[in-house]
Order: sequence, then C-alpha cells, then structure tokens
Amino acid sequence: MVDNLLGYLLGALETEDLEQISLALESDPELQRQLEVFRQALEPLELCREAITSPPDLAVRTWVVIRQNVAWAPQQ
Amino acid sequence: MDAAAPRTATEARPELPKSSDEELLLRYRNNADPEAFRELLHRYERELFSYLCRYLRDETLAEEVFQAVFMRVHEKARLFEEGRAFRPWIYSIATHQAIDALRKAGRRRTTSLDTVHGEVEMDGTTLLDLLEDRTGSPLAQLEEHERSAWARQAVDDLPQYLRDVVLLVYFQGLKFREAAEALGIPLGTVKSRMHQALVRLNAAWRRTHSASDDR
Repeated sequence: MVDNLLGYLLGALETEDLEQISLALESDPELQRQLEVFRQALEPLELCREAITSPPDLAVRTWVVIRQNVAWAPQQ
Repeated sequence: MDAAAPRTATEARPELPKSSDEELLLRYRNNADPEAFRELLHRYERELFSYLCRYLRDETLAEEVFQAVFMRVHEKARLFEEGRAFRPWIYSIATHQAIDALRKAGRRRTTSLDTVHGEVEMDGTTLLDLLEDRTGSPLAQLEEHERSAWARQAVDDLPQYLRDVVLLVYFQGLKFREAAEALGIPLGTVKSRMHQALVRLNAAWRRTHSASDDR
C-alpha cells in the first residue's frame, strides 16, 4: 500500500491500483496523512525539474542519418 | 526497397491518421512505411532527448545517442512482438545505448550518495520513519537556487540503479510497470527502488542540513 501511495502521487499506477488507492484514500484519514508525508518527500525531486529543449530539427537530422545508412526495406 | 532521398527540414510531413506507437512501428516493419518511422521520431524527439540529457548530462552525447537509439529501433523492428508496448521498449533501447556511450567515453558513474556523504545503512528505513517527526520542510530554509542545485546534485549522486528508476518514473512519467519492462526488473523492485531513492534523498538532505547547522 505504501509503494502504491508513491505511485499515486507520481501517476505511476495502473488503472486497477489507482482505483483501489483512490477509494482507500476517500475513507482512511491515516492513509491521507501518509500521503502528505510522501508528498513532502518528493520535494527534492520537484526542485530539479527543468525544461530540456531538444536541438533544432533533431528528428529531421536523425531521419537523414538513418536514410543514408540503412536500406529502407522491411525487416522480416 | 531502396532508401529514397532524405526529406529536408522544411518538407512538411504528410498527415497520418492518429495511430498508436505500436501501430506505427508495425506499419514500418511490415510495410516499410518510412512515414510511420518519421512520425515515431517526431513523437519521441523531445521526450527521449530529455531523458538522454538527464542520463548522460551531456547534450552533444545525448544527440549522438538519440540517433543511435533510432538506428537500433530500425534494426530491431523485426524483433518487436505484437502486443508489446513500444514506450518501455524504446526506453530499454535508450538506456542500453546510454550505458554503452558512457562506457565508451569512460564516464560510467561510480559515485553515489553513500560515497559522497558517508556510508549510511538505509535498509529498513521508510519514508514515514524518516519524515514523520520533522516539522516543516527543511528545504524551505535555503534560497531557491541553492535548493535546486543541491537537489540536482543529490539525484546525480544516487546509485545508478536507483537513479534509473527516478529518471524513468519521475522525470519521464513512465508507469511503474513500464519502467520495470524498460529496465528488465520486477515491478516490485521498481516500487521499492523508488521508495529507497526518496529515503536516500531525504536522508542526505537531513545530513547536509545538520552539518550546515553545526558550523
């Protein structure tokens, strides 16, 4: 349950687990309290979120490299 | 089918009906449809580059590895099993390519929070144990840029096996199950490593904070 609390905060759960923990949180004050503790524990990670921009035309340049280096044939 | 002349950056991509990643890869593999491959490249351009930048901490190397990843996608497309999810599959390829690149560059990481901040036995410690008795957030006591710098370094200093999970789940937004598949480890291991990573980050903060208080 504890690991699923983290997963709940991180959006890392599958639908079934998500529904289970959401339901439990509605009626369990102790679980709600633990959720707040976990939310606080994520602070160090929140602090190092940074937007990373890909270089201009990276996909296009990659496409060019691949087209120049491979025979474009089915791989079967 | 021979390789046609490559499209230029200014050429517009034809509209493709919204297809899943898996459908695109299978369309490429089964029909040699290059537009399907191009669509995959564009879908993952920013996301995968961000992952590689965080993993490698080197934008130039990240760009090289990004290209190598898609070369591997081309080479391994025939091995892609129907019913499998594309996202964890490409992250698995990306992770292996990044590890290879670091190895070749002689930059495989060896430091960890343990070696940087002193060996600390964390087994059995839970986040609840660690955090329940603290009042307020100690991180709030530093300037924002100091907190961000500390946090980035602390994540970088995590042991690789914990950092892998943090990068995939927290920064890339993979589900636990997807991260498990990408890393080739059990689901329960991903969950426990995520938990362990947070224990270490928060414990490291406490040690750093206590040390600075003592001065």
